[in-house]
Amino acid sequence: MSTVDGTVSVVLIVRDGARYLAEALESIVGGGVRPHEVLVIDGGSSDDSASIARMTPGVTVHAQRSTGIAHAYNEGVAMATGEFVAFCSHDDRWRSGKLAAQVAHLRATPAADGTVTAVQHVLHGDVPPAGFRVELLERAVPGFIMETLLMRRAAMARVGRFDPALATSNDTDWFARARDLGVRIDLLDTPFVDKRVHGSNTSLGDASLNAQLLLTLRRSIARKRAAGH
Amino acid sequence: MPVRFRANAPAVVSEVIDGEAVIMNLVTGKYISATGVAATLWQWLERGVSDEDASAALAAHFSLEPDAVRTAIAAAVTVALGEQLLVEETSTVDMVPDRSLLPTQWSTPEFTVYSDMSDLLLLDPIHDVGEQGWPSPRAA
Repeated sequence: MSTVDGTVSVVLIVRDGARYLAEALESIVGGGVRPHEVLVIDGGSSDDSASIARMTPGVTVHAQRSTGIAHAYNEGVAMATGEFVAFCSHDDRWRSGKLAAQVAHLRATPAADGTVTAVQHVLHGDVPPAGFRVELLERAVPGFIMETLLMRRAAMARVGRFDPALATSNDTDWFARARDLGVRIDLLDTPFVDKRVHGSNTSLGDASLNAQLLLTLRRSIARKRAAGH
Repeated sequence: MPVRFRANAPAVVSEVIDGEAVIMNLVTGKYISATGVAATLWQWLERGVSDEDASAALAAHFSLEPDAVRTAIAAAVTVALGEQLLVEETSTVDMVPDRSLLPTQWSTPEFTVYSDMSDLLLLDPIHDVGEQGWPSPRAA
């Protein structure tokens, strides 16, 4: 286990994720660099998620005080004390070397506020869920998603909180706000995250996702217009 | 010859928010803003109003030269087709332009195209559009 030049807080949000959680946590703490802290935000799981998380060395479990994904991220970020903040979902898996590569990139690139990496989608089961783009299974793609993101914590504060009004597109809204603010998030081409695709994926089952995305885009258009772009 | 269209679903979804039509193409990752007359035009076209009926209604309402309006509509339709927002509809049923959607002032209809978030949008699922016009998951 090596060290990294800086402290990394990892925020993992979970709700009834016992099936995949141990694997996700192992990928975080066993990925070559031990994070400064791993904050598991448990959104009221009724399964063994909390006890599974507590069994993993270096992990602290925090009962979510509010509800929803955005609030869970916000609570985790508010608790984070590291110089950098990274994220993972209970059903995804980091590949070895993720943190080391991302922190090294930010050390070498002072102008960058954060990084994302490529992501490989992995089908869990035989049939892709409704609405999923099967072409994403064929190759790794740029992953502007929470699970690949590592940010300087100070830059996260500039972008602000995740919007709880957007149940499943709060991450897209956050990235859009960051982009409109000129916050620089570099893409590392290496696929450092395996994103599990299954029938329980939150966005795949949310029929209101497109309406949320359209609202997110409208907000971004308004910001661009206000900035004279 | 009048041409009718429909939105290129399920790749294209749209919503009018505070008078602005926001249109998203989940295949190209581009999104489009239409305000004023363009917002009205989008709503008419995606509901099957023909380009000629739209032009005639706008020219009459704003007392404008019909050829000038027709040219402006044709230019906007060309952009919409180029961005794969619309596809031609084979139906010959005449849809009457809903005049309640008319803005108070004429402005040359323009679809403003943005492509800065394609890397985000191309990760999102594509849903079919349900009967009420709201997205719903595609049947397995």
